[in-house]
Amino acid sequence: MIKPLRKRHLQIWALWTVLIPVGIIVAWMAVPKKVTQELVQPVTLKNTNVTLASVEKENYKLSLVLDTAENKDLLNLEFINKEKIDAVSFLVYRLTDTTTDNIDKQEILGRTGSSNPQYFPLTYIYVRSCFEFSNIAKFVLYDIRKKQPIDTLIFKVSNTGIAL
Amino acid sequence: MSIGYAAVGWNRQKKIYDWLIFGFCMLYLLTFVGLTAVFNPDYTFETVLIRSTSTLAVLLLHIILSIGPLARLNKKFLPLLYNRRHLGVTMFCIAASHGAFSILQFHSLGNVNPIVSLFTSNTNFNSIAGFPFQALGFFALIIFFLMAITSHDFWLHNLSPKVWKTLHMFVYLAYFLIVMHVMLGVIQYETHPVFVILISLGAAWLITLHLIAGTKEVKKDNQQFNPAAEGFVYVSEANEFEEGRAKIFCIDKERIAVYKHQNKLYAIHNVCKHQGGPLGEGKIVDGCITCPWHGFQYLPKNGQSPPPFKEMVSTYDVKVNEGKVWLNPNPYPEGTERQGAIIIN
Repeated sequence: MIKPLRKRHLQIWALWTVLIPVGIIVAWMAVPKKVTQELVQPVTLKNTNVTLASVEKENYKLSLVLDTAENKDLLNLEFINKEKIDAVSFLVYRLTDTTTDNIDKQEILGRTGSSNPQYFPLTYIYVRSCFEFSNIAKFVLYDIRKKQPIDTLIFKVSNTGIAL
Repeated sequence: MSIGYAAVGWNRQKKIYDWLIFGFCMLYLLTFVGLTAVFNPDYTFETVLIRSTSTLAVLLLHIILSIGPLARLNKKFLPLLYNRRHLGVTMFCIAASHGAFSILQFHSLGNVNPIVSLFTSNTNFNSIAGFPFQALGFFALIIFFLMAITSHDFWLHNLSPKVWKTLHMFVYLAYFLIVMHVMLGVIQYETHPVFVILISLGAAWLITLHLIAGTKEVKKDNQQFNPAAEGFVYVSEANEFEEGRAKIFCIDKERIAVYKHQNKLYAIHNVCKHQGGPLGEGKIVDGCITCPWHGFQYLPKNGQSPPPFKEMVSTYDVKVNEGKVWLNPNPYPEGTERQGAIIIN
């Protein structure tokens, strides 16, 4: 190796000494944090939803729906109360940590309320990770009064669509 | 070293090297698949393939980028350097598998060309968390592809060493792209800190290694020699030379290797004509100075490769006076025969 080439090698790695740590730190800081304290308010009712998959129980119906308004294709979790349950007593969680049963470790999407149906928006990052990596979407319906999960819903994501 | 071109000039070392690479890769992939089946049974086989090939390619890239500075810091690592290009081509094949599986799974089922889809399905360039990280991996793969297809000596000779070396230095850009591909891709979903720790440790290891090796080389390059009469400069004591080995001196801009062979000192240009390997870090084998990188050989007295090979390097005048070695840094044309300086004990 000649002297200018050795110098160029060193210059490149001196540059990487700055750029790589900066890149790692910036990307790490941009990782979406789990919402644990703040309850997300349900979005308003929309007429442009396409249901991808749904599960119907005696008291409620939960669906993954695609909001196609303005070609944005936003994914929402739809909760329909059949008015047989006290709607305000449930929290909806997305199961993010499969290694624990502790509900506090999961990501809270919001609290069921008086609106019916209700929509819990799923973030772009979540949707992308669902499709590209985990291939499953798990949700927990949690009873605040009894302090226990009452239902776990698993949607499987595949190349052909989303199914229960 | 060969006078013609063959796909691979197989020898025992290369076969052992390649079997080790193959065994390691298979062991890694099977272990990854096995562990995923046990701990994450929900994952699809396509996802496991994408993840196992990606992590293996990143690991191999770190090993490849470590070999150069390690070999400069310690000669024990030179055997790894000998066949590094096979490791590089292997890494490209695994990275290409990762790219192909990813494009098939995420971009091939729509009515848009998969490559077009790769660049148009996500255009969140103003978002860090949602940045189109796949494009970064794609560009890195293009660099690896160009490096892999030009890794043969045929391209080294036909592109010229300068162009070839410049092209292959783009591996550093590819490494940066890969780090950001990982950080803006999987790290955004897999928020467990172990992934960030691993990629950070890898980067810290490579940066430290390259800076240490590079700084050591700069010190060698900046070594000062006092000029003396008739263009000769004093460089060393004659008894400091080991038979069949060399000492390297950087005078002005170029490094010169001074070899001791059969009680005589010979000086030749330190840069091998093949890939710029440091001739002074090799040794004399069968009467020829042998490059430590890929075994290219030169005769000490004239810097010519033994027939039928045609490579030649510059030679220099060296003299020994009262046990002191004097070197003239003005080069003779490549292949010029010099008598060498006899060491009187």
